Amino acid sequence: MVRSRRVVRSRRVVKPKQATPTWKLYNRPWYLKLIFGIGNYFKDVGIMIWNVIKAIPFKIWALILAIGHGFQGLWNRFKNGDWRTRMSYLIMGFGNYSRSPRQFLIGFLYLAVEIAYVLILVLGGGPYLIKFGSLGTEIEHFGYDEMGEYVKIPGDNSLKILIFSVFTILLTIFFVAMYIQNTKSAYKAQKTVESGKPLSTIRQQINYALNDGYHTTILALPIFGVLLITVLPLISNILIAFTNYNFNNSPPAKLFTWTFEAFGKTFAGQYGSLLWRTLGWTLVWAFFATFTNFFFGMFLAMMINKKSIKMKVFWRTCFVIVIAVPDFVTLMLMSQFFSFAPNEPKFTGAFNHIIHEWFHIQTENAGGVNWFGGEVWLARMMVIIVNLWRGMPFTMLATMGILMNIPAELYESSRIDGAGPVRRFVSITFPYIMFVMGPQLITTFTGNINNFNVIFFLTGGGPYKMGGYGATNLLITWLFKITMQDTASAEYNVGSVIGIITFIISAVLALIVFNSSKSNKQEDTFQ
Amino acid sequence: MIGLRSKRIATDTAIYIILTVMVFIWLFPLVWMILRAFGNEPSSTSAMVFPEGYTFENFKQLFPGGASDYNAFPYMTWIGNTLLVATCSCVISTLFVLMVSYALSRLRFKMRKKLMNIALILGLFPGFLSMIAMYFMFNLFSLTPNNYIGLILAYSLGAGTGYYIVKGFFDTVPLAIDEAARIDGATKNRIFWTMIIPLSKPIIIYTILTNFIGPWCDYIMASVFMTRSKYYTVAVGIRKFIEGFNLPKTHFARFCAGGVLISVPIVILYLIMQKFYVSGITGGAAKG
Repeated sequence: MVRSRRVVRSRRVVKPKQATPTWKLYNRPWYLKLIFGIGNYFKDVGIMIWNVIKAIPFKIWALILAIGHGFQGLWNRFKNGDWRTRMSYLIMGFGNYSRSPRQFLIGFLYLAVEIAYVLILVLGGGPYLIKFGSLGTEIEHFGYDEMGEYVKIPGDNSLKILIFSVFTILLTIFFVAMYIQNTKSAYKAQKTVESGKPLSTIRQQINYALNDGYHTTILALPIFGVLLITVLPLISNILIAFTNYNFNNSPPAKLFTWTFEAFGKTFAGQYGSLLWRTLGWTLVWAFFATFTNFFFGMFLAMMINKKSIKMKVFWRTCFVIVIAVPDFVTLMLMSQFFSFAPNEPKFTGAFNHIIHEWFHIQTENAGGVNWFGGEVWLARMMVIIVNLWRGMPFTMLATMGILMNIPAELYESSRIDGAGPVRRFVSITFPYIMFVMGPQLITTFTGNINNFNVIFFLTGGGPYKMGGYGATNLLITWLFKITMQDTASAEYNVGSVIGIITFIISAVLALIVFNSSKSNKQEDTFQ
Repeated sequence: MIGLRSKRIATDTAIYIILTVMVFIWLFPLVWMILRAFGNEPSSTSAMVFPEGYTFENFKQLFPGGASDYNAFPYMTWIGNTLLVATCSCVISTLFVLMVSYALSRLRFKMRKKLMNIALILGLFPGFLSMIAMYFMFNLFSLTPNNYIGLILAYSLGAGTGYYIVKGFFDTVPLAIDEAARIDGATKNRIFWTMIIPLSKPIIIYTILTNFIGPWCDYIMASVFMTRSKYYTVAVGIRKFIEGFNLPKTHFARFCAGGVLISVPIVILYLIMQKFYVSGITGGAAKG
């Protein structure tokens, strides 16, 4: 008996981490429990943010240690290597192809990497990298060329210098990694020869690439793509925030250079008050857009999912059709559905007709109500309502999937214990949904902070007020407006600072999602 | 007992009423769009909610020669562009997603956890933030504006970060299959192409569809990358029908017709993929 109990104990039971309740919740009415539950959720989010921030110095220290470790290994291999190994510190791959024809392929691959890198550095990257400090000095001008003709002489292109420098730096990091790998490979070949074993053949090496080293083979292209399309532009975009790049000095005709003015401009100056108001509305919007969708979608799913309700598939499909139509179609449609013609009751939008003719409601303006372009509060409310129309079916679908997974025994035993429907919702359904949807909620929140389409198609950021303040602009639509739409007065550096702010908010939330997603830790359960 | 039963009937009736009203509200704008697409009233701000007469004229205008200003609004060209861009980027994205998912699910290597963290974090950023720099970067190679290749690369090259759902599926395919094949001498490469991929047909169909619908429905990237009417995708083009102050008065019905035409295939695809979507949105969490 004792033995078997021990065996059971030693097995680790994976339990979902539960929030430690700080409020004494028993003997309280259900609505207080609900409120405290939501409060605890946000407290947990706060703790997670703090944990992430706390870990940053340690991560940096670990990175420094890892780099130091790498250099130590580099030096050790140089110290212990023979002359062939040491030569490959200068000519990559030498330690491989000089030892045996069997190692030709791998050796020449290293050599090719080195030659390609040097070529890129000399022909393209290097000249740009040199000018990285000043971002160019020569302005495009007219002058005499070598042939003595009067022509337009192209100057430096600051943007080109910036982007290619970042590219070269990324390439250098890749090269350093390959370089270290090269020394390792050379040292390994030396050790193999010293121990009297045969070196691996080309067939074996190819086999290695398709087998034990397959992760490198298969990940190379996708990672290259992500570096090129996501990381490189992201870094370049962040760097632009530290320049004075705007409509006034945009290349190729003009130069821009390093400065911190964009931060002052964004936080305090011209854009200061716009920023704080836009940021405030962005957070308010994301909060309401997320939670209205969540709660209404949840209740809708529960209504459809109720046992005695018939035609479940029909109800569900009706709502799914709304999200199946591409959102640029539905949102543009909505902007026309609520359109408005001042003082023209005959030629106003469909919804104004409906309230006039079907419900006989008189409006102040004979043309009806200006839903998206009039009062600030009305436009904001309308945006949230249309977003509810558009987004609720998503939550409904997800919640219906979760509801089906809740074990029926839970409900039955609670019914035997005499729990009413409210009690069952608070104690079983809601915690269960929150357990699955909790991390999802933060992702949705991030998605709503960056919900470009809804705002852009419905209001275009308007109604616009004094100083160019768009009352429904989110950070991201505002960024789009001052960089891509108003090209005549584009402020690229301010746009980048706004981008960084969005980036930081998204990053913190993303880290929380990552830390709290349980499935990430239990991925092997089903294998 | 009777009290309980009548109470249940009352709740059910209330729920039916609420559901009916909600379905009415939710579907009303779409019905309005369809009726307007077949209506003889071109303006979005007419004297009527629904059109008075019905016609196919609006659909005819979407085809070459159907309208006098077809060259300004070449709808069929836009459809062709969208098909081209969406198909090409779908192929690349799907391959990348499958490759990354396989590596992260089946292979064990040193950087695996780190890569997963980085990919997850990168994937949560909106592509929007890197779009402006990407535009100028591509511009240096004249891949923007108005170049299909630029748009295709922009949509597809970064697809590797979206591995999450497919990896979750691969995780549920038993490892014993791999091991048996390994004993028979198959390489990991062979296992991937000839065993895992045929076994994962449903999730591959899902990946293909999402990667196709993504570019099909994208507005922002296409609107920045394509500046000439000839190169527009449908999302950018269709906005031209109702852009500005006057166009909604003359082209709104054509907008509705165009909207109906591109929505029908997507709606059908969506209804087919519904069940995948549910497992997608709840991530791996639902199974744990």
